[in-house]
Amino acid sequence: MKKIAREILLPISSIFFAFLVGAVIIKASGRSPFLAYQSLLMGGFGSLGNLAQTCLFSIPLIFTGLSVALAYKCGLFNIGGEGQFLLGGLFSMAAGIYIHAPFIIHFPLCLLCGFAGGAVAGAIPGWLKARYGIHEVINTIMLNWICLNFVAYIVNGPMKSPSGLGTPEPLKTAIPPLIIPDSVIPGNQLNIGFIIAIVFVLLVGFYLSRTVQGYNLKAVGLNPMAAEYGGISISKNIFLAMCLAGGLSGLGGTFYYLGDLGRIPSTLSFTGYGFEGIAVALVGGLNPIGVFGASLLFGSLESGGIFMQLNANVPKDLVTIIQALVIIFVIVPGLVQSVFNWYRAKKEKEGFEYS
Amino acid sequence: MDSSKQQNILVELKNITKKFGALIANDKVNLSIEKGEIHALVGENGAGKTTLMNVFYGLYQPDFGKIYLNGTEIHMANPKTAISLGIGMVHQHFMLIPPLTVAENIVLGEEPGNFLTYNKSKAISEVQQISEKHGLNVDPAALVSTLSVGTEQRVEILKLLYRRASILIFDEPTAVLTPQETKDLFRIFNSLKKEGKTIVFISHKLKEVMEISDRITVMRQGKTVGVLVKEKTSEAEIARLMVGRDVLFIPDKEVFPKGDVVLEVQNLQAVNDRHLPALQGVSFTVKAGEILGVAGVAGNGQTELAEVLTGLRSVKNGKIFLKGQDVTQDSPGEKIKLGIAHILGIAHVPEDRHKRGLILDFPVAYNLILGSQNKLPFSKNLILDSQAIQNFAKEKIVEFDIRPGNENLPARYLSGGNQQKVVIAREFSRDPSFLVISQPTRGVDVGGIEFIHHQILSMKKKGKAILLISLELDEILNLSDRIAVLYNGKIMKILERAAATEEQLGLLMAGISEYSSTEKS
Amino acid sequence: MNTLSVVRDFTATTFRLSTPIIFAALGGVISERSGVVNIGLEGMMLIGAFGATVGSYYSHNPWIGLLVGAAAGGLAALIHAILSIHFKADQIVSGVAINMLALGSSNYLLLLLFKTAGNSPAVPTIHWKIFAIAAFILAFLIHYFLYHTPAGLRIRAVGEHPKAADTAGINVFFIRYCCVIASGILAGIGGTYLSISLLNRFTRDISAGTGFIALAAVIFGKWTPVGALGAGLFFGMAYALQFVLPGLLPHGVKIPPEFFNSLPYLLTMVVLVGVVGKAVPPASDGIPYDPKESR
Repeated sequence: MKKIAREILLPISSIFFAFLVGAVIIKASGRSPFLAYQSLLMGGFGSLGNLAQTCLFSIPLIFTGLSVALAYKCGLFNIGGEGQFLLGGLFSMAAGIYIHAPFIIHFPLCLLCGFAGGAVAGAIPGWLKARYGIHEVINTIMLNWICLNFVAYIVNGPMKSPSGLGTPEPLKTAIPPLIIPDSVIPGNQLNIGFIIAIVFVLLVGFYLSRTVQGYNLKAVGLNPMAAEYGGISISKNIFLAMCLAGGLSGLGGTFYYLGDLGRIPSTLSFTGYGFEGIAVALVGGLNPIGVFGASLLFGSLESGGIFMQLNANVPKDLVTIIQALVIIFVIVPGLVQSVFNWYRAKKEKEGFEYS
Repeated sequence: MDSSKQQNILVELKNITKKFGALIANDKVNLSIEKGEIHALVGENGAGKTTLMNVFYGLYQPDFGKIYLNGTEIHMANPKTAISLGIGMVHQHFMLIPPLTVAENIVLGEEPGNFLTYNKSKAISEVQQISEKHGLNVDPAALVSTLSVGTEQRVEILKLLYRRASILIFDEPTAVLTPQETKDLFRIFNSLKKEGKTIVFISHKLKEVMEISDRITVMRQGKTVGVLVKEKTSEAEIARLMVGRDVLFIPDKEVFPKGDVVLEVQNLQAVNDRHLPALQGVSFTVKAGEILGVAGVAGNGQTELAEVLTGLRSVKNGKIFLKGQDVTQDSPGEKIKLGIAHILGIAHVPEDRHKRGLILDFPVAYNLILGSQNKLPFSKNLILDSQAIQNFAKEKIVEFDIRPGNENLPARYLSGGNQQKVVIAREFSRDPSFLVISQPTRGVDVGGIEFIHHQILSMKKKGKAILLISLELDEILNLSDRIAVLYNGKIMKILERAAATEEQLGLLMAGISEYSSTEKS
Repeated sequence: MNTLSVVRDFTATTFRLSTPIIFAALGGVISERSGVVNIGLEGMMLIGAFGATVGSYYSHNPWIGLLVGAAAGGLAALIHAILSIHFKADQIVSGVAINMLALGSSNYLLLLLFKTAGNSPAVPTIHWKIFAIAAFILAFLIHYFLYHTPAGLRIRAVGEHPKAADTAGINVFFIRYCCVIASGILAGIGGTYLSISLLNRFTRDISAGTGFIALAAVIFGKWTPVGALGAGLFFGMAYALQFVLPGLLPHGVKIPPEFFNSLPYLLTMVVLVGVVGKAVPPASDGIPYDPKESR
């Protein structure tokens, strides 16, 4: 019980401090932190439409967050979310455009392709680590850029649409359907990806905590030498973990490009979801349920950020700053602790002066 | 006499207390060292010897307590202070930087030359000079990564001499040395003593302590329990103080009828992690109901032998037969089959429980099924059965007296002895026909040692074949039926326990065979 | 188009594109030699580029801009140092946070100060050749510093085996702080070059991966300053090729620019496979130093 309380306390206090620092920044910019945060909150949760938007924005985050968390459990740091996201998007988009089949076959096939695309981008650094022991951080970073260039080439070359906006739109049978009809919440785009993301949260949770494979994966992450001694293959699990992590990020890209954007644009850049996935995983305490909660929070920041910029005249880039600050506070529990200590010491000192 | 002794006191540590979290490593420890003596600091693993010396060297700050040097109180802020006061320490794990040269390692922090250039040739010549003066025979231009362990130790000594240290602390310096190298080290000790240097020598090997030291301070569970003068004490007295009671455990010497050959090894060869030959043709057999002890100085192929027998390292040449079946893992190119040991029913207590034996952040229950996680009853159709895992853990916790008895506690929070019991419980519960047991009592307290020895003997009674690899000669002598001495990847000789003497084993461990030309059979 | 002018263009372009990579990579070498991994080079460049623009804009003096840019990079590095050295945070995550922080704050300030989400106004600049020459000289200076001065020996010792350095009386934390801040200053200068030398203004996300290429150059150059210089030049050449090559290829043969953009990353991955097994990074690179731990 105490352990759970502590696990929740750290992310919550980290979020609190990040917002506190954010408020100082807003104040220093001559804007009103109160108005800014109010609009951020309104933009994120203020109406059913905004809530739907928050959920929509959280879909790719849930997948990239799960991706980082799963790799981390195997002792791997997946910084390659951006590239896996793009390659997953490309594969699923290709399936969505070129394959003709009824929805019930076509849509799952697109997901499969998206997963496979991400898995390919994860498999390469996974294999290089398993086979040659090369640190995955370097290779995932390198692959991010290689994937970006590769996808940009395909989108502006072989897959270019006559409109010049990027790829053509996918077929109707490949587009994730809306959860809530437009007639109920007008203009909402929340698609079935949200439900599938929740399913994956539960699946990954079950996989990690209840299966032999999850046991093996965690064993390799915590002590590879002991895992090997216990008959668990280090290289197989590293490779598998990177494939699965890549696949999860790839699914994120699938829903983003098939659902949100409806095409891969010609002016391609990193979406930032891969890096935010790191923040989401850390804030979520590297467990799937935590990842889900953190994704909703970060999703609300994104949907609220635009609102904040319009309403309070605070640049929406503040959201990125706050996300970075959350990471900083989470990875440095000592920082939160020392703020507490400083506050307590100050209070004691003040008390002393008054008395 | 008394007053001159008082004057002679060089160092005094008073009431040193150091806590690490809940653990009290040093509890009001006192230590006084006279000028020009060789002072031994003895105690069991975890008695707090190293912590005390790290405090003295400025690596740790004590929670309280005072340090006096020549009667003046000193605040030892960091190693730099210690160095400036003429204190030097050779750590148990050498503090050398492999890609740098001997000279660079030695002058580091006090480089000759000026701010803009350090004078490499001067560094080399200075080191050469000191090395020759003390007869240490080290090449200053060599890279440390190319040196042997014995030479590395001499580089460490040179480091202290370069800094003109007058108080030299050695933390378990003989642990990695052969008896010959130890003798050489003691020769250096004595010559340093003649020059007027003071030496503090941490050890738990009583024979060495009696050989080299002038006075002895004994520590037990973080406290000083006695200060003895060598001439007026005995090994037995020191041992009693170290352990805190009179008699050391003496196991029953019952002899059981031995059974058939369970394990046979023929001309086994393997390489170590650096791809150098580690086993160079090892042959032996182990019978049911027999303990074959493997004695030897660390680094003579023990690690590789255990790993080869349990499928963690591939065989380069030779054969392994288990109950007559060829189980050699040598097919070139083919990856070794992991966990073959568990498939074949070989149990393995690894030499380093933190490195291989346990996953410290897994709960005790999960650690108890490592290697069987994919088998019934712990899992079915690749899904773990939490209930079965918990029940098994609860049973083993009682059977092996693992404390605290909480199966959900991560293994990290158990004491060394209890961690080792988790490993033993797991391995002994596999119902193996053959067991490889390496360093079963390393870093385990006395009570735990006794318990573990009893467990090993009870496995023998059950008719298991056991290979016991240990660096502790006493452990080998107490438990084995036969003793094989491993030296430089080869078995020097296999002796019947009854026929083995400590002296003979010592010579064999140093690679000296009495009948070196005739004794080949 | 004659051959001579092609060669001249190619050389000039190579140097122009190599310079920022070399600066940041030299920073990376210093930081990692002391045992601190610096994934945050990209962010430090970005914030340096922004700082330089602001400095140059308000003072109308690009040299003030250079100072501000270097200081901004150093400041970002200070955060990385505090997190990863003092608080022993995971150095990779800390670097990721620095990158996000730099991206967010440069864009935030861009909108706040210049009322734009795209490009800042034009500012006074410094000629690129000054930077290019400085990068060359600096590489050899840092080489001398690391291998022939007491401070350099200590830095290498700290990166390999901090505890050994500590027991020899060396202040591990101090050395690591200095090295990380120096790496931020160098990355900041690299960023300065991007905004007030290569261009004459700050544009959103101007570093666009240059910091990551610098990271690749650190590895490609085997953690040595001269190696980083060579790798930086090599990567610059790969970029320059895409401007020169189309004119040289037979008619109809096209190599997409994306291929050249990927080349540094691809080569780094290939090289990593090639050097496997040989001693590469400093032994304690990426591991926070905790004197309490036994090794």
